[in-house]
Amino acid sequence: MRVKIGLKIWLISSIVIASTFTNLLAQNCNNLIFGTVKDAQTREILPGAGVTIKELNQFVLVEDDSHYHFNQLCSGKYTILISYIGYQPKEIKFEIKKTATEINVFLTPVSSQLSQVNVQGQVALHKPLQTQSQLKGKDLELLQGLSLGEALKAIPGLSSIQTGPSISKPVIHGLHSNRVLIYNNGVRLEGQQWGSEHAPEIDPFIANQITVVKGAASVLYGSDALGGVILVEPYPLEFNKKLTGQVNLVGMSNNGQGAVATMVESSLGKNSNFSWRLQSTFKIAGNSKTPDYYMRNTGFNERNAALTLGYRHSKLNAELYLSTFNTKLGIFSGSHIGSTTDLINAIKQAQPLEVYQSNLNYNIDRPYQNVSHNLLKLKMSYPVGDFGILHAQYSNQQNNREEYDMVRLSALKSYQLKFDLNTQNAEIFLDHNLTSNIQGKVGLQGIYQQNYYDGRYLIPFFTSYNGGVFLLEKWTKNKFSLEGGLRYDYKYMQARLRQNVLDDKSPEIQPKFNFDQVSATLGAAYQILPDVKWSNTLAKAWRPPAINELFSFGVHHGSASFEKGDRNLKEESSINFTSGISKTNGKLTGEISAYLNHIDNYIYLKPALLPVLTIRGAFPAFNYVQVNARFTGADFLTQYQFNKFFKTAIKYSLVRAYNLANNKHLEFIPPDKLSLILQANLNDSKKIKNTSIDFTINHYAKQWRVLPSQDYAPTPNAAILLNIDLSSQINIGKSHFNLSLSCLNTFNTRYRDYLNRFRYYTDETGRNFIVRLQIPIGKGLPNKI
Amino acid sequence: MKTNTKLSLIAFMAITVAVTSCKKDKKELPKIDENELFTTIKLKFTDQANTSDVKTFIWRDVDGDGVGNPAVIDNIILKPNTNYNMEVSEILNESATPVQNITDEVKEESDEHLLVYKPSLNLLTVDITDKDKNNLQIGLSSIVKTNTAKNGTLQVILRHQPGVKNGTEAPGSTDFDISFNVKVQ
Repeated sequence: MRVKIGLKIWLISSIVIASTFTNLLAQNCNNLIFGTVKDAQTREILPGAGVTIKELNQFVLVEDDSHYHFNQLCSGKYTILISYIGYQPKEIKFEIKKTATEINVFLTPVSSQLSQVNVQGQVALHKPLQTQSQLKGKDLELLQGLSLGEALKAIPGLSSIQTGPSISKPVIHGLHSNRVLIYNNGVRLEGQQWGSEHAPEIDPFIANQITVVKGAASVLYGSDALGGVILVEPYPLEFNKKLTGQVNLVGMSNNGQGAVATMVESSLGKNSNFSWRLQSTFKIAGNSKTPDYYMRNTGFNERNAALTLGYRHSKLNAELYLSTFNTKLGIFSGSHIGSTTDLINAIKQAQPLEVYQSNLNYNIDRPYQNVSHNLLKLKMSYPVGDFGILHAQYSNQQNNREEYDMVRLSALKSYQLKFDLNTQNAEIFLDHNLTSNIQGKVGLQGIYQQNYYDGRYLIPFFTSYNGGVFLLEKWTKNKFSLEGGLRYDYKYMQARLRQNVLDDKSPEIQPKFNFDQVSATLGAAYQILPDVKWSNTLAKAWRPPAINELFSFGVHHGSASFEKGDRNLKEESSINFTSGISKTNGKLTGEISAYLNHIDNYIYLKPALLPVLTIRGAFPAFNYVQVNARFTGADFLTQYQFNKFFKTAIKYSLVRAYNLANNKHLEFIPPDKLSLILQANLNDSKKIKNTSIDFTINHYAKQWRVLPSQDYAPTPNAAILLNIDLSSQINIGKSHFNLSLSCLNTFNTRYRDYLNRFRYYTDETGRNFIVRLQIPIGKGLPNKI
Repeated sequence: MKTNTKLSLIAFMAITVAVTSCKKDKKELPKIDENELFTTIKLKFTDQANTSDVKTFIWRDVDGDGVGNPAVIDNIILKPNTNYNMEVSEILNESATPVQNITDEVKEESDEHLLVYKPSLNLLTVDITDKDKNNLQIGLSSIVKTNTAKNGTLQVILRHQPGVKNGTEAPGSTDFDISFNVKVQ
């Protein structure tokens, strides 16, 4: 197998390269520089300012305690560039002679008239110029204990597809599943994403920040990123650190959920070249409760662990990351239907039958899912002179999904359906500076995948090979930045299945597929004012049809429909234009962006004229077909800081999606959402600091843009929900404890969510009190507030 | 060099994983396991007055959901004003080899199953005679009483109600939902 051999060659050569590197490095390279960055006039600290060592192309952000650090530097002459939006950037030349050098920097604010802001170094190299949103610090802390899909709803333009209270998948600008990529600590997550009831196998507790790139971003992240990319990013691993860490405890009233997440990290001795981090998360939840009843069999549990090992020698950085994610998810028993009649009957009832209402318990019966995901990642980077940094990464993912249905004699039976997906991914790329104005990234990527199933047929066996090559360059001059990128991807896939998938005697066939396309991106940004930036991106992206779109054949029990794939489907390709303006400083801050996403050959399930007659009665039939589609929309976020104590924010997002073949609105598109937030900060006392109370009112509009004929039931009515969050930092001795209390759905409002696939059967969860406590170990991790 | 050894070890681990996970190439396709598929239902009618008068009617769709030929459905032909013992004699999955007999599974888990009969108006009545361990009706055996000569339909539904059976049709999910044309003549 050519790819296998190629992979071996690649790995062996990386070892050779790595050993050559290590031999080259004999000089003293155990030096450290550190310091603070402050406002020259007010002496206020400037967390978030960027510090770059130009010679090494190393970039760090000033941490929230106003410090920055660079470790493991070799002695010699360097230049650091310090920049922060709204301030004059500063370059400092210095020479490292001793092991620890302190450089404190004071930045001068620029007045808007005579500004010449150089934003170089501000944007980390590996992120595109595109509209992005981040969840970090306190915002992320207040979402801890929720699934990734739920947590991301705090970002304008994001929503989530749910399958009852336990399963949630992120949606960006109305696109989801195979049209959204998730990067877990730098690795493209490969599970059975095509299923809308298949939640991403990610533990949000590993993240220090979650970045969402909205809009097509295929050049950098690969095919499939039609809707956007979600980057789940842990803290960078630090060296020269004593044992530190934190324990997060979360308790929820609604479903009796308890979660314990631990993270500890340390280096092997002082000035060590080795560093490690260990993380673990345990979560257990019982049945969720709507305002009126508990939903039977909606509990779940999760058991995750991750180990990071870091090695650095002078300029070489190597990281090994191993993680395991395991979950058992109960599925609401009242959603189990055998026929269309069952579905119609369920919709007629205001509440699920009494037998499906329960109490708070942790029993998980059929139907349920057992999912595990194991990841191994090996990453190395090495600077290539002044030119840039070379990165090489290999990852191996094992995704195992078992689905247990409600079947006869279940005590004697195991799963009804099992998928086994193995993905290996090798990439090599170079972050570089062509000139002082041009920075970019060029790289190669190869993916090898094998999928097996056992039990009921849903998708076939397949083997696939992907290869991609890309180049992205960004030119920056004064207030103007321009970004351009190109990528070519090729995918070969061979499936294995029986000609008639329901007949054992039917001969095996092995259909083969070839897909290839070019992706491109063109972006421009202009700094209108020191803190006001206007950016535009035009991007072309594509994705090959997913395995289920090609090969589905059978009743989809969750949605009472008979789904038929089509082996002749072509690739989807999209043109995405996004324009946004953001203001990052002053009393008024915010960002507004609007987008247009035109997708050719958009694949969707089209109702067939004739129902399929089965022994369970007639099922409406759906075929996977291709049409041209257009998604347009806007995201809006604005914040106003009245004074030290009060802040208000408004978020609004809307999506419109059309099937251009018949000019009708597409189904299953998130309704408009408006959020009003009022935040009050209290005065600090000796023991209690950073206390704030947030009131968030969320308004979910009714999705009236689908015709009654496009759904079994009318779309749910609009709903208004109030959430309250109270958070504070408690200082006992030298330790900081973060404590927060939240109340979701404070008024215990009865409502249904259009994007919940179980909206036919049950209301959404009711009031939920959440308490979170963060306990530091050692010095604790960088303070996130 | 010590560090080189460590690096090689790490890389070696990666290679091992890479190679071992490629090995199962020649894996066989799994056997068809549509364990919830029904292809055939047989109803056996015995005239109470003349037990040698036994008729069996069949509903059959062997090639499974959504494939090929439509179902074969017998017309149920009964005598007017007659009492029959009716039995669901066989529930089969004939697409499996060997043929799966689901009747036994239904009997074994009779406290999780309910057969529901819906005849068209004034055609006939169905009185279920068998009970499960919770004294709730099952429906594998029943007495059918016909009226005057008439044509109509008989709908037969098997409800699977694990853990939620309460004697009514509503809980659970439908295992099969079929209709026969009935001629009382």
